[in-house]
Amino acid sequence: MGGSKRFIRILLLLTGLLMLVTGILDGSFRDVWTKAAMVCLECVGIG
Amino acid sequence: MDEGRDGLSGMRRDRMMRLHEHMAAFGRRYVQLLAAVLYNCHLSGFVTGRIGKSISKGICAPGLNCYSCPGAVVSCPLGSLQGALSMSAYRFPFYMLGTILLFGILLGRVICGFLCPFGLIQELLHAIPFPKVRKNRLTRALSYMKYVILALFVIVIPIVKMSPGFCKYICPAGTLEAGIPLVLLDEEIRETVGLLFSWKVYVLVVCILLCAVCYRAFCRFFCPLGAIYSFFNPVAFFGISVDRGKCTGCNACIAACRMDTKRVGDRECIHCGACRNVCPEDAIRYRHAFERNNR
Repeated sequence: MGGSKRFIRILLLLTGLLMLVTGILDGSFRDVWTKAAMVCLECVGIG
Repeated sequence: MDEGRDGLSGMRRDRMMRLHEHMAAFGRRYVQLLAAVLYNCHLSGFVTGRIGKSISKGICAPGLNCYSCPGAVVSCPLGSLQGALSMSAYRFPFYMLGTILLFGILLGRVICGFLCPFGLIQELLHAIPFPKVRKNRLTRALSYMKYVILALFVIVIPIVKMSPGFCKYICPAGTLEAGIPLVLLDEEIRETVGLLFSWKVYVLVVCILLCAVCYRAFCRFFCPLGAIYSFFNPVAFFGISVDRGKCTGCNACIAACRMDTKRVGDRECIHCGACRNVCPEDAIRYRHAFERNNR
């Protein structure tokens, strides 16, 4: 059980890192920044 | 005099345990406050009503913190996830899924207990003297509601309607941290609010009242971010765990826990440490995955 838990942890960690790096390279980081740098009208209840 | 094996009288031991509890709670509160301040240190925004535009807003805070808060210097993981899913037809949301995966696998719901400003607000609200609702079978059943909200408002609505469903119709953190301050500070925004803003204020008021009577009601019943992190609780790198060799099964930990846990470290556990302070066998501790003999 301990071994499989360790394997899952490492797998998810590496997957997360890989997705993060891919996202930075493909422009997803910029999408997040663009959305966050403008007032989110839905969040403030304007729609 | 009733002296234990450690030479302390029962009264003195109780006093020391209460002091230990207060110190542990103070330490966690300090971390919560520090996180809230760090996420929202764009102080000029609270004066001008203009939100920050620094590059740091491309980075997500681990906890719930609206990116339209005038003071926010980081992004909201839930809002950003919805935004990314609403654009998923054009670009797969690698960055947001990777971010949430990393937060989850590293910390799980430690984030809820230590790094979420809205969790802090709920705890402060619960300190208001009011009749309290203790956890019971109903609250345990209601804890599944957050998974329904996650599926419907955070995943389905953004993908199908290309709109952040949770942010738009529910999020009380957005109303409190962004909606109300911006409406007060920005005349243009103030002139355009309508029924949706009224609905969101209503949701916020209900949430505040619920949190005053029921510990962390939003976390337990409504928060989709807590729902996401709960999947990682069993495998996260950091968290709280029980030494089965020392545990006698007295369940003092579960009795002391104000979340809807069935055992220490399960999906409802926010790793606040309240159980650690009451364990008579000192069997509960914070652990990390790099320890030897860690399970």
